[in-house]
Amino acid sequence: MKKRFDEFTGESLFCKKHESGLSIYIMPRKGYNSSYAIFGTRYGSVDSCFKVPGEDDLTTVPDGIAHYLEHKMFDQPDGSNVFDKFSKFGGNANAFTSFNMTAYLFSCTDCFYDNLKTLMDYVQSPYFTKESVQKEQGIIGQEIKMYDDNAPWRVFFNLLGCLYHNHPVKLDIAGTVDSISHIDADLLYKCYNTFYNLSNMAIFVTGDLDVEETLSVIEGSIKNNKPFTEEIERVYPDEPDTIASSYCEQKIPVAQPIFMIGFKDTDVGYGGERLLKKSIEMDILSEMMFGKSTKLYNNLYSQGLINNSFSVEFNPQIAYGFTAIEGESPDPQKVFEEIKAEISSFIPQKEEFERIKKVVWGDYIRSFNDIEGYAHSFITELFTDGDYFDYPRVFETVSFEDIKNRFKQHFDTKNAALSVVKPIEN
Amino acid sequence: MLQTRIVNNNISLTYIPMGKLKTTTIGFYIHCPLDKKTASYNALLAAILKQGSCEYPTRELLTKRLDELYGSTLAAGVSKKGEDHILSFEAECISDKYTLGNEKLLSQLVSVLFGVIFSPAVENGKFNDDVFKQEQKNLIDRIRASVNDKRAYANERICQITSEGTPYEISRLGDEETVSKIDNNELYDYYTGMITSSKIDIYVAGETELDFVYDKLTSLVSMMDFVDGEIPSCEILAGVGDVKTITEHMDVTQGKLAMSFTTGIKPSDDANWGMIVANSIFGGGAHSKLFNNVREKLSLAYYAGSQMHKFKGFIAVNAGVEFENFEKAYDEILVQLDELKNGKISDEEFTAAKMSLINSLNSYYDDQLYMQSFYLGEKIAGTNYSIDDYIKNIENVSIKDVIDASQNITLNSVYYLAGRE
Repeated sequence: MKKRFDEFTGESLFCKKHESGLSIYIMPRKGYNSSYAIFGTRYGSVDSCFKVPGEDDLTTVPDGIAHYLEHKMFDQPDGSNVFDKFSKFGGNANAFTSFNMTAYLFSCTDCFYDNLKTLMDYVQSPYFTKESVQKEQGIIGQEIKMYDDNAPWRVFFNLLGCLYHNHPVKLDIAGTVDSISHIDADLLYKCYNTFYNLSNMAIFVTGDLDVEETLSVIEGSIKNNKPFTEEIERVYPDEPDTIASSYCEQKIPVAQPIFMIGFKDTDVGYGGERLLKKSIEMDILSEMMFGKSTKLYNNLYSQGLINNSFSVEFNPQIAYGFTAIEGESPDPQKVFEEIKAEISSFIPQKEEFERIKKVVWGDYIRSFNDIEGYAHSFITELFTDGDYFDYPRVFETVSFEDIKNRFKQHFDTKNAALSVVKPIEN
Repeated sequence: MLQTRIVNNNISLTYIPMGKLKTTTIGFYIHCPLDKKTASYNALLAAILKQGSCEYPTRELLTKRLDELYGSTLAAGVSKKGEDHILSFEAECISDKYTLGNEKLLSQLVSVLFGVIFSPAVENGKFNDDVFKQEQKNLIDRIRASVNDKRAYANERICQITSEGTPYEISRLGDEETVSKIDNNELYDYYTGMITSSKIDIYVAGETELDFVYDKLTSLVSMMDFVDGEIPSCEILAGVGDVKTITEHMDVTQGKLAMSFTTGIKPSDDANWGMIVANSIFGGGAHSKLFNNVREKLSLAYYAGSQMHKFKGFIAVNAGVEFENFEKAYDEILVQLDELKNGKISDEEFTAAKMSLINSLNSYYDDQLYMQSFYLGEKIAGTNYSIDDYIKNIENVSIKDVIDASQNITLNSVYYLAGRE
C-alpha cells in the first residue's frame, strides 16, 4: 500500500492496485463522525456499444441498460433487498448512474466495517431473473416519466441534443420506455460480466477509520476475479466538431422560461493531467467571464434578464466536453445575444485572473469539508485517468497565458447553442 | 462544548468548535413572528441586503471583496421553523492556514457581514430604488416559480391545506400580492425597527477565537437602542374535524399524492421520542414501510416517504404516483399506517429506524450549517436538547412507546396533483 501526503492540506491518501484488478483508495479523515465509501465502475449510459476483451465482435445493447443494471443490483439471491442489510447496520445506501460511471455508495456513523462488507458483497453478486427484470420496468418507467415533467432535466438534454449529432451523451441516462422494454436478464449479465470486472472498477473509502483494517475488509471481500489484460474497447459514433442545431424549445408548466446555453468543446480526446488542467483553466475562465463580480453578470442582472439561479459549469470528459450556462429569464434569446456579444469583445485581464485564482483555490479547499463530495470528485477524476489528489500541483501550473489560449480555443460562438423551456400559455 | 456569550438582551453569540473542517461559518439569525405581511417584508429584505453595504455599495464591489477573501460566501434568506420566520445571513471562508499567502480571512469576512446587516447601502432614507425594484421583481418570480418542482410544490400545498387558518400556512417567501405592494421607504423603516426589536442568535462554527467577533459586535450595538424581543412560539394542530380533500390539475405526466396526519404531540412532550421513531418506521427512508411496500413491493410509486413537522404536530406523506394508481396508493399508505398502529413492526424495522435517526444526528457533527440549524431549532422549540440528548432518548424508545405514540396519528388532509382532464 502506497502512502501519499499533501503538504498544502495535511491530508494523506493510501492507494493499492489489488491483484484482482481492483483499485483501492483509502483517505483517513480524523475527527469525522461519518464514514463514506463509493464503489464505482467506469461504465455509464454512453457505453452501449463495446468490445469485450477476448471477443471479436462488437456488442450493442439497448440504451438505458447501465441504469437498469444499477437498479437490479439491489436484488439479492435470497429474495431480499440490499437496503434492508444496510438498514440493519445504520448505513445510508444509494447508487447512481451518470454518463460515464455507475457507483454504489453508503454513508454511516456506526458499524462501518459491516456496511463496507455489505457494499463489497452485493456489488459482486449479480442476481437477475426474468421476473425480477420484468418487474423493474414499471419502476423505471415511472422514473423516466418523472423526468419528463422536470424542466431543468429537459432543458439540459435538449441542449445536449443541440450540441451533439451522434454522441450518446445526448440520450437520456435512463433510456426510453421503449428501449428498456428490450432489456432482459441475459443482456444484464453480459454488461455486468464486462464492466463489473474488478479491473474496470475502483473503491474510495474515507472517514475516521483504521487504514489497515479497512484494507483487510476490502481485500477479504473480493470475490474471484480474473482481471482483463486489455482495455474494454468502447465504440462511439463519429462526432463532428460542429453542433447539430443552435436552438431548441419545449413547453412545460413552469413559471418563467428557463434556459441553458452550451459551448461544445472541440479540444477533446485526452484525459489525465492534461484534462484536469483544462478543467481548472475552464473553472477560472468561466468565473472571469460569467461570475458574480463580472460586468456581464451585473449588466444582465440589472436588466432583469437573469437572477440568482444563473450558474456556469464545465463538464470535462475524455470523449466530449461542454460548458453549460443556465438560468431563468423572461428573454433567454437576449441573454444568448449578450453573451455572444461579450465573447466577441472579451479580453482576459491579468488582475482578474489573480483574483479569480483565489476563488477557485477556495473552492478546492472547501471540497474537503464534504467527504462525500471529495470522494465523488476523486473517483470522477480517476475515471478520466486523472488524479484529484494532485490538484494543488496541477493548479500551480495554470498560467495567465493558458487562460488566454483556452478562451480563444473554447468560446467559439459557432459552437454555441441555446435550449429553452417555456411556460405553457393558458 | 458550546460557548455562549451574551451581547445584550436580544443578541447572543455562540461558538461551536469544529476545527476538523477546513472552513469557518458564521450564521446570523433574526427571529421574527411568521406573519402574512412581514413574511414578504423579510424575504424582500434578505434579497436586498445581500446586494451590497455602505462600504461595498454594489453587487459587483461586494462580490469582488468576497472574491479576494478566497471566494468567501455570503448568503441571505428566510426560513421557517414552526411559526418563527427567520431572517438569516450565512457567511463562510476557508480557514486562514489554507490560504496561499497567510491571509487573515475571518476577521475581514466578519466586517463585511456585519456591514451588510447593520450598515446597508442607503440613499435618502431608503434602499437604492433600482435594487429595490429588481429584487421585488425577482422575489415575485421566485414565488411564481414554486410550481416548477412538482414534488416540492405538492409538499408545500399539503402543508398549507393542513395548517389553514394558522400562521404556519404562510409561505416562507411571502405572497405575490403583499410583495408587489411593498414601498421602499416603508421597507427601510420596517428594517430599522425590526433589527433593534428582535431576538438575534449568532453562531460561529469552526476553529477560531471568539473575542474579536464579540468585541466588534459590542461596539456596533453600543450605538443602537434596543427594545426587548422574544422568540415566536408555535401551537400544535388539534386533531379534529373532517378530512379535507383537494385535487388540482396541471400539465403533468406523473401525479403526486400528498397526505397529512396530525400527531397531537409537541416537541417538548416525552411522547415525541416515540413519535420520531414511529415516523421513521412509517416513511423515514429506505428502511420504512412506505418505501418498502408502496414503492418496492407494489411498484406504486417512484418515491414515497413521510416527514414530521414537529413544531406544528403533523406528518406529511408524499408520493409520486401514476394517475390511475391514486386510489391504490392512498389505500396502501393507510394500510401501512394501520400496521404501525397495530404494532406490526419487525425487529429489523425498529432497529433500522433508530439507527437511521442516530446516523443522521451523528452526521450533523460534520457540517457547520447543520449544527447551527440544529441548535437554532432547539432554541425555538424551547427544549434546548443537545445532539447527544437526542441520541440517548431515541436509543431508549421501546416498541411500546412507538405503538403508543402512533395511536395519535390521525388523517387530516389529502392532496392530489393530477393531469389535465
